[in-house]
Amino acid sequence: MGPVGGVFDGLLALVLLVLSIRLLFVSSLFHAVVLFIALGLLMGLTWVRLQAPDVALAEAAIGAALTGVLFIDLLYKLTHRNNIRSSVSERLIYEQTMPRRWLTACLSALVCIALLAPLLMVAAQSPTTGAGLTPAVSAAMAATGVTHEVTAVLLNFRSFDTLLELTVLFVAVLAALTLRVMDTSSLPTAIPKPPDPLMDGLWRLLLPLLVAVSGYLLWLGSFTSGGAFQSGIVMAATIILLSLTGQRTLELLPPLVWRALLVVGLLNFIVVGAAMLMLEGAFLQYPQGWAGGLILLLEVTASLTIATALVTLVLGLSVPAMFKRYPDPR
Amino acid sequence: MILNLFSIVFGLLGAVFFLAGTIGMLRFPDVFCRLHAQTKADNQGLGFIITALLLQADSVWVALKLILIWLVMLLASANISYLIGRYKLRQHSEPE
Repeated sequence: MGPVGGVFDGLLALVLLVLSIRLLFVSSLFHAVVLFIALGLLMGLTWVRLQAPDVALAEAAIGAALTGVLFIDLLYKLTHRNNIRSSVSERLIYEQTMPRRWLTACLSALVCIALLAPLLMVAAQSPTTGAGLTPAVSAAMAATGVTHEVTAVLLNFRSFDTLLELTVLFVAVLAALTLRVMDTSSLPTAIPKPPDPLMDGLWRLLLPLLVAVSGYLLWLGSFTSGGAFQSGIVMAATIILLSLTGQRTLELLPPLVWRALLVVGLLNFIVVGAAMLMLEGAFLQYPQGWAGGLILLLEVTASLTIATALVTLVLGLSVPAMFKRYPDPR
Repeated sequence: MILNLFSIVFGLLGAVFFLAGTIGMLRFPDVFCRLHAQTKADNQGLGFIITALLLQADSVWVALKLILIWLVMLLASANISYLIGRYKLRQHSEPE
């Protein structure tokens, strides 16, 4: 790594720390969101420095980009709700009464310490030298059906974890749709709607490229950094970009297709897992020689579901057409 | 050897543009001036750094990918500047 790398890493760690502290104490929600996005990008860079490009891609795309879009959109809706100008609404949310603020701070501190203690214990116990699990993974690579270690871990050795991750995403989407109590028709979206020649040109140029990148990332997953999550995120970003430039996206899908896309990844995992339980005697235990094909199948459907779930999380609140069959009770 | 030298020169040129762009971002008085500074860093600075990396590329594919990254960045940077500029312009003309 050398001294230059060391200095760079030190600076990076310092900036991460300073950004986190600034983020907690900055007084405007908008500044906090901007700092959060910057923090996500620098976290991505940190993962690159730790030689984990898979995590870096996911962190930059979800942690910075998609969460950033969600936050900015939410902020816009909060501040423009019922035409209340930004400062008033923002203050309402942010300035709580003093004792309540202190109570919140103390509770957060307690939770943080409670979480930090076991983390430090684990860190103290983990070996600082040696290769960890790398030799074990490398030794078993031949049977996994893929040649990239990260994909082997995610979809073969620990595919159960990926199943649970998809479940978490699914539950998050369900929760977001359930909490949709706002009257969406009165809410403006952050980007102006009338078609714009420049935005039109932008999506026309970017759409084929982004679709290609998404497919490429999915294909890359079997032998190098990439895979279902990264591919799904790029696809989701593409659809969100389209819809931000005024194109109709999710509304075009029949509700049934949209729902099917939302569950197909998770369902496929469960079906494959159950089938393997019957054939091989263990949940998600792939038979010899079948691993590669099954992993590809799981990855394709997982990628579709991840893309649909993320798009729904971002656009769900602003696409009333999707919920035509469930009118607002009010 | 001569390639490495060119890489270093182009990389440093790129870094100078990024530094100037960042200083502009921090010091310029309004949004439009800051946009100007930022796009210089994005377009020229990244262009120089991509040139430096092109000279070190292992294969034609890597070189093409690097050029693609720069083109996409140009496209994104121009469009985002337009959006920010238009938003600011409309804010100014809006009677408050």
